[in-house]
Amino acid sequence: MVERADADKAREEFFSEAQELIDTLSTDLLALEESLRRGNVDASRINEVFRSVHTLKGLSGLFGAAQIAGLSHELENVLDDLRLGRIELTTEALDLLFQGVDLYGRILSAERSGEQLARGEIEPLLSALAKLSKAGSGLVAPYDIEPGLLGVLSDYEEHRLRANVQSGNSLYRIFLAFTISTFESSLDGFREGARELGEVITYLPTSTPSEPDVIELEILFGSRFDITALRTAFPNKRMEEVGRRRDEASQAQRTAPVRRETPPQFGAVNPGSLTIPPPGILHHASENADAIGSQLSTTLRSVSQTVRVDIRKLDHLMNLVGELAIVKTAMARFSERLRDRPELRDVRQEMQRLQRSFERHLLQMQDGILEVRMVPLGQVFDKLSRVVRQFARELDKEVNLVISGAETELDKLIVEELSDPLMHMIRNAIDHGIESREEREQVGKPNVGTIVLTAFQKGNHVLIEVEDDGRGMDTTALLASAQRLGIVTQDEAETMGTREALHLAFAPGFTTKRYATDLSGRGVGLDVVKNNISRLGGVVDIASEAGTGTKLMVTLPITLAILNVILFEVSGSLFGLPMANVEEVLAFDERSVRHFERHEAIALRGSSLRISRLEQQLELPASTQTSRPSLLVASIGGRRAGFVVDRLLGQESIVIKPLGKTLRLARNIAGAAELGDQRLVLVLDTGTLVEEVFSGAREGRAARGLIG
Amino acid sequence: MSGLALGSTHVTLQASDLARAEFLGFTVQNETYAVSIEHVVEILRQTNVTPVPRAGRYVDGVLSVRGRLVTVVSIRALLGFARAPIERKSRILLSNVGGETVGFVVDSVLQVFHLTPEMFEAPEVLSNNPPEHWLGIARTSAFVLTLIDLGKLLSLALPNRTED
Repeated sequence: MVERADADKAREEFFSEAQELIDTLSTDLLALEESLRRGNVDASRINEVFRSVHTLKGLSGLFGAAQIAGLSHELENVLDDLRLGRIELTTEALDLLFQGVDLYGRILSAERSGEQLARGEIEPLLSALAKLSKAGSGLVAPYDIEPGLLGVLSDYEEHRLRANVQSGNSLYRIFLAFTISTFESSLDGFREGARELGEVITYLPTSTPSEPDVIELEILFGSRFDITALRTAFPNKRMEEVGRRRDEASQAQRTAPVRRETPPQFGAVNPGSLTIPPPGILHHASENADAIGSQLSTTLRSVSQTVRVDIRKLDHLMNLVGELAIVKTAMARFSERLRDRPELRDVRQEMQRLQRSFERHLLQMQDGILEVRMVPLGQVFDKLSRVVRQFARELDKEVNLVISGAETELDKLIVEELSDPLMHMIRNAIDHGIESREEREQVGKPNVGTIVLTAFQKGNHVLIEVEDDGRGMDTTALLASAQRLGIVTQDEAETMGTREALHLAFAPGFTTKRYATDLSGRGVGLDVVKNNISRLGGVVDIASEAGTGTKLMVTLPITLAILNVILFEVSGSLFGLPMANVEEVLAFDERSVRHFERHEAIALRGSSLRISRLEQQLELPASTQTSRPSLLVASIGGRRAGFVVDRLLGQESIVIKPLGKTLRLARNIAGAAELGDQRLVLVLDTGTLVEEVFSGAREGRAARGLIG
Repeated sequence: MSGLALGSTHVTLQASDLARAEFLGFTVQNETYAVSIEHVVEILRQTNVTPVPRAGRYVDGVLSVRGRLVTVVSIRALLGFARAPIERKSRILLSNVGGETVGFVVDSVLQVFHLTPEMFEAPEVLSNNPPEHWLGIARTSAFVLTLIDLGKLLSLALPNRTED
């Protein structure tokens, strides 16, 4: 059993590490695409991508994740060709790489649930990758410089050499002397300092040590500057230009597609300055090539300074804080009891002092744990930029995604749950918001549509906005459709304000199917978005102007772990409702209720408010005792409803815990928390409660034949 | 997880005790059942179970066990018996079922039975078409035990439970 637990843990580690690698991969690919667009492919990025894939391959091999290993293998081949310049980085190649990242994600989530992805989902990409890498081999022309030098180059250095030659740079040998113990860092320093002027392609120790602890390196340097400029930049350094047969090289590029396979001869040229290094030094040199590689992936190093923690461990710590809060309440009660004992006044004062200190530290601890749970939204935003790219391509639209506030932090759990709703929102914006190129041209908008994704913190909430500069929403058309679908009556439609009308897009069943041709078509999946966000304790709002664009605004609590709830009793049971959703609390007067067929409402400041008797909605036994009922006015996602409860008990900050999946049927309950007196309070889910009140109304209309 | 109380006897569950042939016997509606002790994490005396509205007919409610929420289900309801009020001898068996700790309310707990192969009988002895949650029958000197799989019992009753 212990072994199994260890294996499970190792497996978990594998998944989180693999996920991290895939995320890095995705970021690197995006950067690569950016650099391709600027026409200046960043070679070190390709190398980093290659490394990530390579690591993933090794990792998956260890864990028997054969599909990941297989995909990694094909990707590696393509990437190897790319970094060695055998094939060119094109949009098509990049597409395949992006598809690879998506496939990794799918395989990984399948593996996690102990399944295997169908072969049919993997094979097409594998063969496309294989075709690409085969097609490319031998495309890059051989060229002829210094065979002696070529022999000691690593693949990557060889490629960089080629790249320099191809872009018409001159090659130089620069001789530098370093102290052996620090030569790597000194070399890195040189590399950094020389970046403006050119690139260190490779370096070799020369065979002429002048002093015992000094090493002289011959550096092969590619630069677009001439030797005079370099002499000025590196005064007092011995250097010479490497002879180059420019014509031959470029001609070879055009005519000879066969890659040179014959091993170059060592020391054939320039025996004076370039000698064959003894095997030991050769080995050393290749080790240094590795060092260059590891320097390229400095991010790996910073990751190792952090600790990866399973979120469940943090949940556990948070639960412990909850337990301590219970102890705190018990202590308060205890010192309350001491109040009746005047002779123990000293004890009581001491007790209260301890209590205050305990409370303060508990609060700090709580804050500390919450802070650890926070991750930047950038994680999910990165994924979204990939999605934008893909959707825009599918829909043949040009879209520019502008991201700001990626550093805004949110609870890890919320960030995880956010990717789906945000993806829906962005898809909607591209699909229905952004117009086609021609349409945009007609109304004088730039060809490329813009979607702005913004996140920022506001008090205890984080706001995320998705704004497009598309065609916007026409409230008149929205209302007409809603009326046709039976979501609103004609009376309601006539009195509805703009904001309320826009919110119709979130109504369940408000699909685009029927009116896709005569209206912007927005609405696909927006009710799903709203539900997902509600489940996270958040709200979605919408603003739109016809012709100008649409903005969706998501407000989320920073953390799910601590919730401020209002406590009350219904039918003798204790419940809580998140304070964030409670607009106001009124004394409930039975006489103010008006009946509309089976539904009840009251007039609240001039407008009707649907009310629901929680006792009935939750199917609880009728309460026997008479009480002074209250009405909680709750709102979520723009919908308001009043809930009749038996007795209010006050407010409390609680650590909410989710219910197990056996309780999935109880969709009205968001979770439960233990109170100071060890009673459990069930926290109601405002979203589904309000939803039910209104879907009940829809059923009523359906019965009257208003909904098809 | 250790120190479980069976009436007056105290048995401590440890990994080394989890031999396959150890079963915990309990009663439901005067019938005797047993589950592999490997699957029983803990046995609780009845504490306050908080009822959960609209949770379905098999669910009694939730319980906080040292700060962890446990769903409590009625084994009577799962086995098709009428529900009965919780009594002094009622116990809750905690079991890990499909990644979740679930409490099963039983009428009373008997003892741990060390079963040997010759005590076993296949479920087919009693029925052509035995329920899927039956593991077999065991005859001891004093009891005839129906050996059942709690996880199976629960997933048969709540098929949606396993969906994610």
